[in-house]
Amino acid sequence: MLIMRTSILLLLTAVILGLAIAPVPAHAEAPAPTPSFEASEVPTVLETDGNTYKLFLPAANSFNWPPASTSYYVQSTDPAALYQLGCQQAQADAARPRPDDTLVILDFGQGYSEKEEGKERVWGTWLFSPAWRFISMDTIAAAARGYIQGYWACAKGGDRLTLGIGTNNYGGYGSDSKDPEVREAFASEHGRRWAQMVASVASWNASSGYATRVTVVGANDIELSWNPPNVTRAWVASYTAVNGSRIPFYNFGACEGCPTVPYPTWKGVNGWTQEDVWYAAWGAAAAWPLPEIYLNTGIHARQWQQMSWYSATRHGLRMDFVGAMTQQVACQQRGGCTFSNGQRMDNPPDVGWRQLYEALFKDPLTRQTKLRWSTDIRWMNR
Amino acid sequence: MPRRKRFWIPLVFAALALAVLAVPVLAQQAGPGRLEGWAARKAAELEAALPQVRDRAMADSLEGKVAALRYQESLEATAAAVGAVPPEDPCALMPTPLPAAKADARPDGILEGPLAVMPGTSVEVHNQWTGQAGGIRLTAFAGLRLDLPGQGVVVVWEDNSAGGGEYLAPQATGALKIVAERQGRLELVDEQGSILFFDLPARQFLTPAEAQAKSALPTVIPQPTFTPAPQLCPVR
Repeated sequence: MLIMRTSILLLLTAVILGLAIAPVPAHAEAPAPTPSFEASEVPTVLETDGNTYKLFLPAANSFNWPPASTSYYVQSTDPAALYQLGCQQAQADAARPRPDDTLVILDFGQGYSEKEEGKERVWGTWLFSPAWRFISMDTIAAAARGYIQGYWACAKGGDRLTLGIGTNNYGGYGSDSKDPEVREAFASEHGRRWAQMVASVASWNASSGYATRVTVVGANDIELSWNPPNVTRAWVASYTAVNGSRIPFYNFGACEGCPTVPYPTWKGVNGWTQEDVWYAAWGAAAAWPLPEIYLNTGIHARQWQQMSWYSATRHGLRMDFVGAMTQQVACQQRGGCTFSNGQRMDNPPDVGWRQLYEALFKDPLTRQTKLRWSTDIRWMNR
Repeated sequence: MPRRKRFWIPLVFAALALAVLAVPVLAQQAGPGRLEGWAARKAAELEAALPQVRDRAMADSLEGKVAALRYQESLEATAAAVGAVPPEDPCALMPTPLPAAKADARPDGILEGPLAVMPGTSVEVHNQWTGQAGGIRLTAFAGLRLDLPGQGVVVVWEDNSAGGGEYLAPQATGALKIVAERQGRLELVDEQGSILFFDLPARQFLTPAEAQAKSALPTVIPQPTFTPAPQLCPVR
């Protein structure tokens, strides 16, 4: 009788504590997904990773969704405008009771370069809209510094930011060529310059004293349909070679067309293989995966889980995902996120994050108990 | 066993269990220290994994990642030595805004540039047009859907609302390009040299008969306009 009463009390205590740990979704309007774990799959143990603790209880799922930050498709490079956005993110972080650890990607568009007669080629990106114009690396660095200063000036408590200075792998990098070998040479030079620019911002960030709160990394939206693998690999290899790859970059692309089950001979669009995807997202020393988990069906999450499985079985270690990216607000801003078959690409951030977490958790080879960030991308000036 | 004692024993057990389980909960909710030292912890975690990795490419990658995390730690130490303190006025560090014209100017009319991809979509943009159509200022992008072979597309964005959308060409005859705009109607050419018309206020491609008739089509319902977010730091 005594043992039974003690057991009941212990169980009740554990359940109450488990419920206390379960996070309250910040986006209350988003429907909470039904946890897909079976009770028997969920260990009723206390697990530690560093000093973060989770209880995997049948009554209270292990989901520990981090509040989503706002990433941007940059449309203005005015450092003052970026300062305001940095300040806004800091204020949003400060409004929550716990110290926040957020990731923001500033996507400056496709790599590009311009050459005027008699002058050296200038490297940067092609800013998508509304300006539709070339911007140099110096302009990009100044914009990123503006964001950092805004965050620094408005942050409170123990809040921390990781800022990804982003580009994408589309196009000819200003070569005006569709020849993959010509593009490869341009991509290689762009990767080198991008790494130097990111390193210079990181160095300024440290010498200004901001690095106690802000970390600077590179970022690249790598999509398989936007260039053949040799072009993208050249960018990644060059970026990685600069400064001994001391400043990482986050690959925030999709794995479009990638398999969701083991498929060693798979070949995707533009001739991409799983080995190419692995290299660009994890195999290169500077690369860390921050996948786009856009599709409501969860296929994107399953594709990346399969990439992690590939890494574990082919290279002896699973991928270590830093988080998940969604585009719910961008879809609300510009539409066009519904396919003709009714599938949608506008996962709310908590749903995208949970899809990835669950997909990785289901297989012991890919299981990852800490998925650090959730970020939702939007257009800046709308 | 006395009745009172039988009651207290499970209660003591429960209190002990509560205390043990509360430790991790409180640790998770603790102050700033929770987020510090992430780079060091991750570096240690990867270093611990290194001896088990036999694959040379993976091992080289891990060594590089550990070195990067250690470098990040050194940057944090450099910053800590500086001892910078955030200003009391959150707007104190704001750079002088660039003149709007220099920052974001976009002329009306057809705008040419390199092929560009519309982020978050599979649309490759070949050129664009900006101006007023049906009383709304908007931009129309013409190009190709990369995921649908040969499928031309027009994408419309309204400047100050979520209105707009993506409109596929009636036939998959290659990428579209805008060659002219007259009274809210875009004239486009596909890769086979055929001319197509797109009515901006109605947001639809026109049949040859509709294009000839030149009569007005029903326009789309206007969408609510955005309210600009207040500026945190007013321009000085």
